[in-house]
Amino acid sequence: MRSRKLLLWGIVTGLIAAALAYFGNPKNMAICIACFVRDISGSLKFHQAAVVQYFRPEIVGFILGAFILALVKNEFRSTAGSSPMIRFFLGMAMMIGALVFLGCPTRMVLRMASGEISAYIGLIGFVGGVATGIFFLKKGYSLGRSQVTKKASGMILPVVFVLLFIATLVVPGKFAFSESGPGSIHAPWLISLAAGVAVGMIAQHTRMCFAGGVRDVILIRNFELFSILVGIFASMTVYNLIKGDFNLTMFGPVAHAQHLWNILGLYVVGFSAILLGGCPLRQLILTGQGSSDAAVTVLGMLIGAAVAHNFGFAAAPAAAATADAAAVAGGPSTAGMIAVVVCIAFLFGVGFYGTKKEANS
Amino acid sequence: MEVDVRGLSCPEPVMQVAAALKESPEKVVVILSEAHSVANVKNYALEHGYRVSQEAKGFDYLLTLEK
Repeated sequence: MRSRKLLLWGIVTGLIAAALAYFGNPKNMAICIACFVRDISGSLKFHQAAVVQYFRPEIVGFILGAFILALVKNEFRSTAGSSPMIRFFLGMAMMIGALVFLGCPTRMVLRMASGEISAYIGLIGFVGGVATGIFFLKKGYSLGRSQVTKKASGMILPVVFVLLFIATLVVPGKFAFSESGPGSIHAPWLISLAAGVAVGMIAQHTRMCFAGGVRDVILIRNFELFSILVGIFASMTVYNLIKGDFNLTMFGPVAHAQHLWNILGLYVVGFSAILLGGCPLRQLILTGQGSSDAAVTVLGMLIGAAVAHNFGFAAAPAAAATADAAAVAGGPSTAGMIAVVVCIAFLFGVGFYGTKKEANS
Repeated sequence: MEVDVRGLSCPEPVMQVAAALKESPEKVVVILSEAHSVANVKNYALEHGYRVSQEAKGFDYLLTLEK
């Protein structure tokens, strides 16, 4: 019964994503947490990739929606102290993995719904990463308990995101905005913000989590969270079919078909999401609910995006041949490949370390 | 049997409660700090045929799971 309700919420979320695509967001990127955090990182000039710089109002909305609903439902708890610096680096790793695949799990589902075979191949890595995380959970993995802190600690990042967003409207000259490329393609800001707030509230209410959905199926044979993902996939697929945007192809815009690196990129994302206790979207929602640990993870994601672009770890999108340009295979550079391997080694390190018993666990 | 899962990340609360229910299948009292963990633990218990009662304990939540 609950699964059916959650499926409906998933369908609604998919419809909101479809609306964002309709009103101008990149089609197969309508709500991609990694892409949008990367765009914000660029807008703040943390990286200089000119095509991916835009202060995405959706991200502000996700945090704000969760924040408002948590306050209304008396579920806001300012907490911190569950190994924040480990979480910071896990956030960085999660982002680097996502930018090698070119998308977070949300975008993986959106790309699957538009018929991209490379996203289905990436899914193998994502499930593998989640399964590896579960291996450590079963061995007793934990980053320790968070504690209740001063209320302001949990409010800082939600407030800062809102203030920064207002600043982009008042003094846009201080920020970077893409003139071409995916960063320049977006819905009007008010629609983006409203959609973000709505999804933030839905996610807070339903505990929506892309990693948790797969994790619960494997770990406790529970399909509740997974049914939300099915709902999102279903409504986006229908939207793409109606719009004629469903094409069974190897890759769509801003994607590549380097199978191994699609798999390993999402392996890093799935693995780190389980070690963190939630996917990139979930980290934003937990931030809105007052978790400073999640807020630190979000900062790690922002810096991870900057590092991925500043050091050339982010994959290049593939392109089919045109009249005046040869086809581009895309995918990560050698530096990007090394970064993925280092991330995987780091994740195994954290996994083994987290299974050791310490006083605060 | 009492289990304290305050401050733990997902899915540790559910895993600890599942382990506790194996050890003490008749009754387990769980103390939690986060609303989403309450929902997760409650669903798990209901699915496994337990009666669940909930009360507030200061800033925390107390769940009693009984067969």
